[in-house]
Parts: sequence; structure tokens; C-alpha cells
Amino acid sequence: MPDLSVPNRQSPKSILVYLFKNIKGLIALGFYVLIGSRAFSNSWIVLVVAVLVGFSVFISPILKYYFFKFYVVDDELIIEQGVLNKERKAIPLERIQSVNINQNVAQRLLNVVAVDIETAGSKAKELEIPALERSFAQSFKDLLQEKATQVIDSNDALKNENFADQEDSSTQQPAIDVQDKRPLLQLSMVDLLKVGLTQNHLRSGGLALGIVFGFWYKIKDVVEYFYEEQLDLDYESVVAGATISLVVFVIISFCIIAVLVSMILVINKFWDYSIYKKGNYLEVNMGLLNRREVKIPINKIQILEFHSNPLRKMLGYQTARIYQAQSENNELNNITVPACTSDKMAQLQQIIFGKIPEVDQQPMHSIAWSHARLNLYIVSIFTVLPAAVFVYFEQYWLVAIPALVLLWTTYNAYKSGEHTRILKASELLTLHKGWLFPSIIITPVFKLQASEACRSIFLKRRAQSHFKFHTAGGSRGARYFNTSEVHRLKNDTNNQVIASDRYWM
Amino acid sequence: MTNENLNVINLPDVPQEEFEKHPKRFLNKKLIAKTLFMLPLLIGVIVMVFFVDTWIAVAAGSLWLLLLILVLFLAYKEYFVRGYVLREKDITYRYGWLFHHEITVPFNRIQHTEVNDGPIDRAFNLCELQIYTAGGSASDLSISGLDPMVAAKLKDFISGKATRHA
Repeated sequence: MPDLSVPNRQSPKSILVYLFKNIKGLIALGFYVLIGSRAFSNSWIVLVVAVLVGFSVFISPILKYYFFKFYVVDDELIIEQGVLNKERKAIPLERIQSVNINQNVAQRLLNVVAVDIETAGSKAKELEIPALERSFAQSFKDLLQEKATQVIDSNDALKNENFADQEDSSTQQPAIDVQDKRPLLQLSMVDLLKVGLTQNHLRSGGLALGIVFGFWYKIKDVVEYFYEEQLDLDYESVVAGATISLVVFVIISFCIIAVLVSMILVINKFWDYSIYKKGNYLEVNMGLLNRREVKIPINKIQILEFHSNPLRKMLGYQTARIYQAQSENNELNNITVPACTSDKMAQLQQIIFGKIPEVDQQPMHSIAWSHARLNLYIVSIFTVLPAAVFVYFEQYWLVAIPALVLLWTTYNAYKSGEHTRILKASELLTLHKGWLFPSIIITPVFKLQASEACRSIFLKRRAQSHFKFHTAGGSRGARYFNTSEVHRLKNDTNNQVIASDRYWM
Repeated sequence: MTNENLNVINLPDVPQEEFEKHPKRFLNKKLIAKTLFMLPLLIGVIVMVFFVDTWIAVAAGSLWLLLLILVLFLAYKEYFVRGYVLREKDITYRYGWLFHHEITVPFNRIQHTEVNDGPIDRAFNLCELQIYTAGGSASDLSISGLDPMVAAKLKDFISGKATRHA
């Protein structure tokens, strides 16, 4: 067990980790210099720059290592760092959400890990100790978690049991240990391929396109610089010679690249994925280049979401997202559980909420026509103009395109409105949204921070409102319900929050 | 642990009639503040008169006037829907005419409160009560246009309730 009361330094290997990082930066810099200016005429400037860069690349890691210290004083974890700007961060232990272990390629080569400490609501979110010995990191993590729970236990507010623990504490302890060995979910290569195939390819393709366009001129410069003689391309003639076949070729290659990018991203992110339940924690391990080990305290989970799309539905699984309490400006504090089959979904809900939402209560249905109407208004703006242009040039058959777009999106909106509903089982609030891309959002009612009813002036006449709820893990809502129903739900949830004295964050 | 089953249907609703209105001078403040906010644009319009064709300047001027009237109209309408209800265990605030919101925050979810006032607020003897929750900025309440006395009392009441739960 590490002794945390005295200032600790990282593993000396951290110097190398910092060095790797700097060299990576240097390579990028060198690349830009190469592209930006082919000739540095003044050698004196080059020398000064080289010395400065050399100093910062090779000396700063040692200084950084020397000045980085961490220790625990009076229930606070304190991290001191910085050479010129001294920085001292103090985090109360009970604020620690989770302690995660990350490992990128450099860290893996050196056999060290980064410990990443997440807190909720504090500004000092970015707390990372970049290089610790594996064993030290593990015991440090356990120690922190243990201390955090001790602090919380001694806290008055926590005399009552945690929500998710109810079931466990009533059943005997050994049952949990048996569960420990078996992962809740593990992904094989086939699963990874399935997940990759059903990603949002449009987004991956867009990402790839963005990168290509962003660097296009630079890439062009480099290519022309090195291969000017061999490459005698006349871009204008290429564009002028653009034919249908070229367009088809471009579209097909875009699709292939998009799918490939999705695949690569998914495999890199979810490689060797496993999720376990250990006591009151969910433990997630994943990653190819960057290994991540994330531990989530179950009682701190605020929202559980399931997302799907037509392809995923065909393969019979959904993607789950788990949201913890998050600090501001940090939208990414969620854990993805890919390839959840329906029994895994049920298991996940059982673990997180201690129960599956019952369906005994009548759901609150959204008014589908209002979804369709809004879509009609918005899409009309974009379709009426092209339609008018086509009519003006007497290309009547082309009008069918905007008309079809309008019809299809409106039908879509109607269907997704039809599928939008809110279910309030006694303790869980469940939102169902969407049709082609359905999502289910589940949150325990007592975790709500505030409930909100909102409407525009146009909805007032129709006596319709939207419902929104805010949790520490973010805000969610659904649109177009009868105002009276929304107000009843708002009252219900609000009263339940008031009546609850459980610890919710 | 005790956790009795409550029949939520029997619990009280937010009383729709008892919303506390803001003092009348808040409306005046709003109208004046909005006009002041539009003034820089007017200066732009006046500058245009000297440099471009008269008809463009006239068009810009009338556009400005239209915008001003719209902004003032919205502020005027908005004043009458704005209001709050303070109950034993929660506070409900509603605002917005074009886009209306009604948000209820229970005291046991409030993190901290603060009272702010700007120069225009002080000129009208008004201030703003800011209520922070852990739900991020989306669920924070900012009740503007309160009498300083009322705001101070509200703040004391709410923070007293909030600390009892923390």
C-alpha cells in the first residue's frame, strides 16, 4: 500500500512519457515547418529555435517529473505541479466520482499507466497523473476509492442506503463474488465487426472528408514538392472531364472509406471490451491503442440510454450509454456499452436500477401530428424554393424530388412522434423517442434536479407542452404532450424528489 | 432505512393562481434596458445617413424602429407571464411569452444561491437571485427583477432549507 500522507512522485519513467509526448509534438512541428517554409535562410534564427526547442523537449520532462507531487491531507487529495506556474489542486475525497486507468501506446511500451481522476461539478476536472507503475496505480486507485467511501460513510447524509444496493445488501454477500468472475459483456471480433458495420457511417465519412479537406492544400503542396516531375496533373481538365461514372466512383469510394473509418474507429475504441460488476462498481476495460479501464460507482449513475438504428435492429442489439454526474463543459462523461442484446439490456437495468421499469402504468403519449407539423414547416422552407425554381424553368418532373423529401421527412416525423412516450413506473422515468433511430432514456426519479414544462406561444392554443428534466448527468426531454398531462407528471416527479432523502449524486 | 410509499397523486400541485409578480418598476427597467441595448445600432443607422443613399438609410432606420418595437413588445408581454411561487419545499419559476418555461426546483437539490445586481438594476432598486443546482446551467434558476429586500429574504430561506438537506 502506498503511503499517501507524504508527497509522492510519479514513476521516473514519466520523464520518458513526457519526452515521448514532446517528440510527438516536435514531429508535428517539423511537418509544419517542412510545409510552411522550404528554406530557412537565416541560420542564426534556426540555431536559436533549435536550442529553445531542444531545451523544452529534453529538459522540461525532468523538471515536470521533479515538480509533480501528490498526497492526501485531511480527506483531500492534493496535486502539485508546474515549473513556472506553480499549481496546487485539492480535491475533497468525497467528490471523487471515479478513478480510471488509461494507457496509451507510449505508456504501454514503458509499462506504466495514467491514473485519471474524475470529479463531479468541480472545475478541476482535468486531473491526470500520467505515469505510475501498474501495481502502484492499482493500489493507489483502491486506496483512493476506499478513502472516498470512508468519507462518504461517515457523512451524515448517507445514513440511508444507496439506491442500487438495496437488492445486494438484502441478498447474501457471496452471491456478488460469484458474479465477479463472469463479465457482463465481452466483445469478440465478430461483435466488433457488427458494431463497426452499424455505426453512423455518414458521420465517419464526414470526419474523413473533413480531415482530407482540412489538410488538402498542405497535402497537395507536399505531393507537388516531392513528385512535381512525375505528376503532371491538370486539375481543370480533370474537373471538366467529370462524368457520371466519376460521380458514381466518388460516391462509392466515399461509402467504402466511411465504412472503413467506422470499422477502424470502433475496433480501436472497443478492442478487447469487457464490462464487469464488482461490488458497487461497474468496471469497463477497452481499447487497442489507448487502453482504458473505467470504474463507475453504480449509485452515481444518473441516466441510462439505449440507442439503435435500422441496421442494429436487424442484428438484434442496441448500444447503451451510461451517464454519470458530470462537471460543466464535459459532455463526454459517458460510458458506451456496444452490442447490447435485449437480455443484456435487461441485465444492465437490473444492475443499475435494481429493477426493470414495469409497464403497468399507462404511458403518456406524444401528439404525433405536432411532430409532423413542425417538420412540415421547417422542411418547407428548404424545399419550396427549389420546387419554385424547377417550376420556373418548366422542369416539372424535378419537382418530385423536393416533394418526396418533404413527404418522407414529414412521415418520418409523424412516426417518430407516434413512438415518443413517457413512462413513469413508481421509481423510474422512461422516455421513448424516435422511430428509425429509437432511443430509450431511463433515469431514477429521485435523481432529478429540476423538472420543467415548456411551450411556445403557438402551442398554447393547442394546449400542448414539452416536458424536460434535469439531472446531474444532463438534461433530457420529450416534446408535444397535453399540457395537463405534462403538469401532472411534473408535479409527480417533483413531489417524489421532495419526499426522497436518498443521496443522489 | 425508511422509504414509505407515497401516493403522489394526493400530493399538492403547483398552484397556478398564486404566482408572485415582479414589481412594476421591473417592467420599466426592462423597457429602458432594451432601448439602451438598441442604441448602438441606432448610431450605426445615423452614421449611414451621411455615407450612403438616403433610401437605404431610411430603410435601415425603419428596420431599426421595427426591431425596437418588436423587442419592446416582447419585453412588455413577457413581464406579465413572469413570476414565481415559493412553497415549503420547492420553488417554481415561470418566464417567457414566446417560449414559455415553467421550472420547479426542490430545495433539497439546490447547491448554492447568490444575489447579483448590475448598474441599471441598482438604479431601479432591483436585483437578481441566482439559484444553482447540480444539473448544470440548464436547470439553474435566475430570478431577475426582485426587490432587494425580498431577494435577501428568499435567499436566506432557500439556503436555510438547502443546508438542511446537504
